[in-house]
Amino acid sequence: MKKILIIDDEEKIRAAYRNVLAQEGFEVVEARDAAHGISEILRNQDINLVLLDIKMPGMNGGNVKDLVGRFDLPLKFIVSSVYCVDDQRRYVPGADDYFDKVQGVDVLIEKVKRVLGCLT
Amino acid sequence: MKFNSIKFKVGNLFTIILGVILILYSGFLHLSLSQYLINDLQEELSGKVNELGNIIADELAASKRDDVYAVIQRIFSFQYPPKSSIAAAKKKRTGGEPLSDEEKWFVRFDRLDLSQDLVAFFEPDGKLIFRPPNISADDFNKFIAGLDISLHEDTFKEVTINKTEYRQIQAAISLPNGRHVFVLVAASEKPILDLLRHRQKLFMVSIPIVLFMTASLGRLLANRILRPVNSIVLTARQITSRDLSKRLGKKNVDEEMQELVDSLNDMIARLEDSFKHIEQFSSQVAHELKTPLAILRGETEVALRTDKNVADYKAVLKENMDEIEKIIRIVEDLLLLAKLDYRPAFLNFERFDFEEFFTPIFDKTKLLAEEKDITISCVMPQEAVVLNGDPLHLRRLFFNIIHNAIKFTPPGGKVSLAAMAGHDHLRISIADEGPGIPEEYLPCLFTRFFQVPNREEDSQKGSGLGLSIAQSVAKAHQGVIEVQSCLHKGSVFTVSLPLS
Repeated sequence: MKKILIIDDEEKIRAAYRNVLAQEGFEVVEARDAAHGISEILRNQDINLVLLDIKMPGMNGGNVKDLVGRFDLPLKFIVSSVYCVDDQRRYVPGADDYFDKVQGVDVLIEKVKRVLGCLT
Repeated sequence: MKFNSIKFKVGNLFTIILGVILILYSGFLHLSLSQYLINDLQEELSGKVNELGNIIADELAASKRDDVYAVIQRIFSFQYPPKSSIAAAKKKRTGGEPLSDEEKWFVRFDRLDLSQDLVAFFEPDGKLIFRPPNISADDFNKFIAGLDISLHEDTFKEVTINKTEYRQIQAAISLPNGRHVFVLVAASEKPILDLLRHRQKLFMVSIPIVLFMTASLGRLLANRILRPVNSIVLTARQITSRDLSKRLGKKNVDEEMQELVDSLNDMIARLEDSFKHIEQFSSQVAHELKTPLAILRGETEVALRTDKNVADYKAVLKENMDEIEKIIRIVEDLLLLAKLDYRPAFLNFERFDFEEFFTPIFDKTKLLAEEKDITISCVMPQEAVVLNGDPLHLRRLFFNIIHNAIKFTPPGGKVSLAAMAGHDHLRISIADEGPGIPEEYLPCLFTRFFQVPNREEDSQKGSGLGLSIAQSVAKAHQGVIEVQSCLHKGSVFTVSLPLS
């Protein structure tokens, strides 16, 4: 079972995504900010994908990706923010995919599956 | 060509003005020159009459006879000698050789030079003594038509004889025995008129040439002066809201133009700042509005994926209501900020008593504080204070700041309000016992959507517009908000409002 970490400061967003991703058969863990997210990643070495918000109190999503990138983990990143995708690419370059949160959960599920290789 | 263009003005308008000036000036020159030349001719005529008088007097004295007729006849019998004879006599005189009587007359007459003039003598009663030879009776009559024997002073007039203009002098020549004769001398004005005509022609040719040259030079000059303007226009065309990074060049630009270029560059820099600010701001607005929308969508989609009972749907709808309210609040706050910044006239100013105004705010915030077990106190000014302002929006200002103070003060803490009337300002301080604001965040505290990071009050996260609104309201009232903060001890917000 693929394991997904949602790093997002909006509890309601985390709840909604956890809900749908769990329904799709993924194991989901959550972190409410960047610092918690990093410690989750380092503690659970089996995380396959990080759903990463950009604007959060304290460190932002870009910091998380930069920091975690140094550990050479087999991790995929989908940036998930309300910024438009162009801006997301500018703020956090090099992620596997970008998701505008207003696009809805169906788009999210499709992107998650594609990045994790569940779609052919 | 546009009539209000600099090129037109320099090239044509100046030429027209110069043309008018030149025409007026040449007219003036013509008049004054002809006046001068006529006066000169008249003086010459007076001189000739004088000399004639002298010759007659000398001749009468020499002949020892009192025969004016004979003398005048004698004088004019020498008239019009051949030029060669005069030249020979003059040569003899310069050589120091003795001159014959006739030769003396030649020299004297040469000085007098009546060869081109008409001369006539009259008795005091108008009887003709001598008339010019080689002149028709008709012309002679025209010549003497102006004789007036009642006039003894030199008198000038213009006569036309044989289609030629003459300047004529009538004078009385006194004789030794107390008698007098009248003399009429007329000199042709032709040389003067020819000179004037010649000059007129010169002007008529030279003025258009000068004007043409002025117009051409003016156009060249205007083009040269305006060259930097063209380059400014070219650069300015390349500056759009998409690319405000370009600046106007100052190379080879005159001093006055440099000022213009500097001002324009300053303006573009300000525009660039504004556009950057707007871009940043709209991105923030989009972020703040899209966050509740994303939550709305996520929750709704999750709810629609599986069938639920009524209570669960209600719970989702209630959550949705919260987000909808959040969106409405952000939109209304943004509209209010826009109005405060760009149309402050919408505020309804009135005079009101501060204590009457502030007590309900205090009471309301007291309820909020009690919910969190926070003690809130208030010190009112000792004397009644009257403010001039919009109570509705000032209430919003104070409520926002006090609400923040309560929000960040831990349970069991204290929030103290105090109002003090100064000389011309009323200062209201709101002190909390919150975590304090790190110094580096103080400058951005009133920036739209700014929130101090790492605050624990996630559940009560505001929109980040409350303090911006408070500051805009204060500014609209010519007031200020100052902040002092001490980490782990608390913050003091002081609102200063001018007293009416």
